[in-house]
Amino acid sequence: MASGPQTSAPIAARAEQATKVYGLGDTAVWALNDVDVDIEQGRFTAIMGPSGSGKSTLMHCLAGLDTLTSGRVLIGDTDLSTLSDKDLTLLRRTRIGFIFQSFNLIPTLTAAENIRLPALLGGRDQDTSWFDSVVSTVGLGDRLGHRPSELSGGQQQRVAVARALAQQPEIIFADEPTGNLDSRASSEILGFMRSAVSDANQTIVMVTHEPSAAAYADRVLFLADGSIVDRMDSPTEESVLDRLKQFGA
Amino acid sequence: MIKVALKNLRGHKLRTLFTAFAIALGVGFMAGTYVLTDTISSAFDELFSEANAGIDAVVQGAEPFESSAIETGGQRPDIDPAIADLVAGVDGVAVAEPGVFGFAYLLDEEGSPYVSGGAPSFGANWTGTETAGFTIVRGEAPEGPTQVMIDEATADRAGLDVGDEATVQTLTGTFPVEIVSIGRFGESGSLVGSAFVLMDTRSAIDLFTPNGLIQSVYVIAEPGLSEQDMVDRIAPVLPDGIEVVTAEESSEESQALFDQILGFFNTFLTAVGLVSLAAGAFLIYNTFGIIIGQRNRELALLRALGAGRRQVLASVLAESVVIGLIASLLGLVGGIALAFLLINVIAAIGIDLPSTTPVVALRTIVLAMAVGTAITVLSSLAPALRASRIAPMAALRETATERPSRSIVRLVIGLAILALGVFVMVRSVADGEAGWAAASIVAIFAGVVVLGPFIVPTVVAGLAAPARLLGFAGRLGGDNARRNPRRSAGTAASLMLAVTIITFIAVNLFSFTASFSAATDKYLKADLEVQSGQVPILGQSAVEALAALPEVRAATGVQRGQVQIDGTVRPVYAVTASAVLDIFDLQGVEGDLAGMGTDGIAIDRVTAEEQGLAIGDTVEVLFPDSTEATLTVAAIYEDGGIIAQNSDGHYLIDVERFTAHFGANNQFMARIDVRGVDGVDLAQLRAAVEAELEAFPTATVLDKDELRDQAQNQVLQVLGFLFVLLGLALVIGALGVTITLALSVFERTHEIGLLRAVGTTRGQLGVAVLVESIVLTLLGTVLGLVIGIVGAVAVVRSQADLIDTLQVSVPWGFLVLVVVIAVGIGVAASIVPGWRAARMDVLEAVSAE
Repeated sequence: MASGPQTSAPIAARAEQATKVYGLGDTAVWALNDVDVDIEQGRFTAIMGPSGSGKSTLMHCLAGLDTLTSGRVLIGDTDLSTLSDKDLTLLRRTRIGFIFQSFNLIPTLTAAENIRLPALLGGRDQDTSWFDSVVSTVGLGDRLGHRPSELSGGQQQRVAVARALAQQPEIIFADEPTGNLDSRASSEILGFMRSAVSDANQTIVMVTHEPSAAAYADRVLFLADGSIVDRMDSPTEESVLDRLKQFGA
Repeated sequence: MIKVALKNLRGHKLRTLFTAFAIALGVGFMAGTYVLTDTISSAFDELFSEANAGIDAVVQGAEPFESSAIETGGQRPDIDPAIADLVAGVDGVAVAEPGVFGFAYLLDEEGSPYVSGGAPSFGANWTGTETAGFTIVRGEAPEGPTQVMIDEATADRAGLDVGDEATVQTLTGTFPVEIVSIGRFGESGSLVGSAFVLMDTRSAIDLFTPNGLIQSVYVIAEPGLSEQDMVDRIAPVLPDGIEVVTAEESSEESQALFDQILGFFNTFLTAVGLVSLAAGAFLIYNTFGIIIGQRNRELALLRALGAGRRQVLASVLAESVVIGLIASLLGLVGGIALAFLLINVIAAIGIDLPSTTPVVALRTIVLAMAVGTAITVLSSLAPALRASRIAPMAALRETATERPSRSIVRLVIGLAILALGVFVMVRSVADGEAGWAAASIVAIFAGVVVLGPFIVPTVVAGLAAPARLLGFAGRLGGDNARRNPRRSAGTAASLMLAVTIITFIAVNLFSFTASFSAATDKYLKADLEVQSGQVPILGQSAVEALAALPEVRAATGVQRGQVQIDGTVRPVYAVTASAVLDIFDLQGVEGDLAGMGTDGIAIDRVTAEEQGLAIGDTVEVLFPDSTEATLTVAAIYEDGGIIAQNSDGHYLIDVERFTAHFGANNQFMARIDVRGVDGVDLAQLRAAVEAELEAFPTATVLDKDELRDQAQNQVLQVLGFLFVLLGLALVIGALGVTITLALSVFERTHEIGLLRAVGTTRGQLGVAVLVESIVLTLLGTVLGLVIGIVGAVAVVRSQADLIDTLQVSVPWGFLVLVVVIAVGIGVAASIVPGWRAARMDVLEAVSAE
């Protein structure tokens, strides 16, 4: 089942005939097999699939952390394959936000510095009012001077979310952002991400294996064996769970 | 468990190699030193035997008391040439020839000696028999006061041959000669780079020795008689003060003196090797500490799976034993190779050793292996014990990195050691105990090492502050240097050690020079100083010639030797008594120094009080030629430091007294001080002195400013030399920084991945590692500078009572150079880890478990 461009909504990121092969010959593993996908702007997209389905690879390639064997990835109008390591780095710094599952923060920096990290790296000044609004949204006001080791796991992820939002990037990639959190902290984090999309028109792509997390998204893409096998708009936890059962995952 | 240890070593080849290399450098230096000195010693052993080959006994002046050969160069008294005839008449003596031995330099047309590199040149007599130690290669035997034989090596080097003309300079002056033959000394052709000028016995006595005496009689026995037979037969006929020894004993005596000199050399170089090993020990301690911290989980897992504490301990120690053995072996092989190289270099610059096969004594091998392995194992003991105390539960914990240990126990112990050091330092400065002041530095150093983790955060914050100018990457690097204080302190310790020693020595030397300059101003009334340099050829005749110049008010040489005064061996200095007060300001003299004559003696105030001596008292003096004389204390002076450059108690006698009782080879002046008549123009005085010294072309004339410059230059040379030697410890310090950074970069894989993901460029990562590296090297350097300066100032100040022109001089320029070099080391040490950090694969780093 192919999923080409289907809507006329503006596109934040796009993969065209994206193929990623690890190894050679008989031992070659096709992590991505000719994938075409559009990530629409201002929407919350979840990518799901069983282990080894290629969901993380797809996200890494979209985010400029990994390179394709063939095909291409665009962020906005920029073809990532044409960029040097330096330009790619600057693109990640200014146009992309990241939320990882763990090790999201630099232990020597305070929470506030971690949030401002991309701006600090660029030697730029942070937009103060936006910074304050992000910080108050994620509820970190009294924790800004603390270092990561003094924060709980949920607080650390809130800092990571704040860092991604603070840059107002074109697109945020989240890799299992709630994988290490309990359910209360998870729903907080997912709530922040949801409202960033709904209220501030942010674009978010999230890899997850939890149907409850996927339910926060506008659309779910299902991957299996390196291909997009289905997609679902306006998912609920139940509908996602049903679909996964169909795959026999 | 041992298998686990070996797997670990193989799994981290580079780290193992680096760690081993740090120890290998120190071991190599030590082993190389031993091989070098053993080889030189054995070469000389051979030479001294060669020199006496074919001889059965040696008749020589007897020493009435034991003098320090190192201090005086040997004080055996000369003997009368007639002794040779006396010995020749003994039944069983086949040949008895006088042996003349003095300083004699062959000069080129410009008046420079042909020997190079400060090697000595000796004058001896050609006897025509085996007693000369020489054989003629070509030409005729020298005869008369204008014919000489020179050694083959010097002839080859100088391009001289039979028939050439040259000039010879001795203690009696210069005279023209014709080279009539080329000779060969023993097997090797020359005596390890020193040159020889031979004349017939009569001329040699006249020209090589200022007193007309000879140094020995060489005896060859008739066939069938042993060396001991000769000694037994000759001994009874000899007058008092003259002895006979077998040729073998004579060789051994020469060898013993030489080995003593070589021993100092060996001790000095071994000390340098030990400093390197200590630096290596810090490195091993720190590296093992970091590795144990990183393997916390793995070790805990082993414990959880049933490995005992002892097994964990044994596993870590086994790793260190293997590293120690590898390192010691590498060092040993490297050291032998280095010594071999040096021996060949020595040979290449013209110092021919008869045998250049390196002597690798069993002692060297055992010592190198034992010291290297022991230091490695001891340094890893503390980390190994820590490893064995890891609880199995740690395997289950989330974070696996080293916990900074800043325990109260550490704080208390560190403060106690530091306080002890400071207390001893303050007391020793007050009491004038330089030795204790120096010892207190060891305690202060140890205290700072123990307190490192507490000191580091503040110091690093200060050092890293300027790095913020490099932007956020600079700040990250500074923060990283501070995040694990114990690791940073351990890493900096090696460099701190090297810098402390360099700084300590530099401040001491500069203070010494400054004190010397001040003393020159205060105590030296002379206008010019004549120095014989490395060629000891200025005799009393030169002093008298200078004193006789119309431009000169007074001149005196300074000679030194040892005598026995009231039963104790003492240093004695010989000066021209009538001139000494015109030349030196002794800060007050009681009695009549100028008029003390040959029966008087002058003493410094401290010694006089110690010995309870007053003007008019008498002392019994035993001279090297066995003469006993009762001398009257004619004068007591306040401060004679300008004459006797050491501060021990010393005595002054008149040069005439000295000349009468010391051998010809003791009678040269290291320096002659000259004062012009009042109102004389310095340039005019200098011209007159230089003209008079035409017969001594190797002498140099210096005014006070030049004297000060000379002292300064000598200090700089010594410092340069030390810097090269201690560079080894600096290299080890740099290695330590590299290893720590590499391990840290590895440990921060996730963090680096994250930084790269959110937009840190490779350049920024490189800058961060560079800054961290420079901050770590500066940490060691700055702490070392502080301890070194404080320690040196304490040692210098503790001598305030002894030297009243004492000056503390801190060579800021030199110390800035040390800092610049440290920054350079920091840059170099960051290259590999910085490159690895910058090249780290982002995705792997982000997703690494």
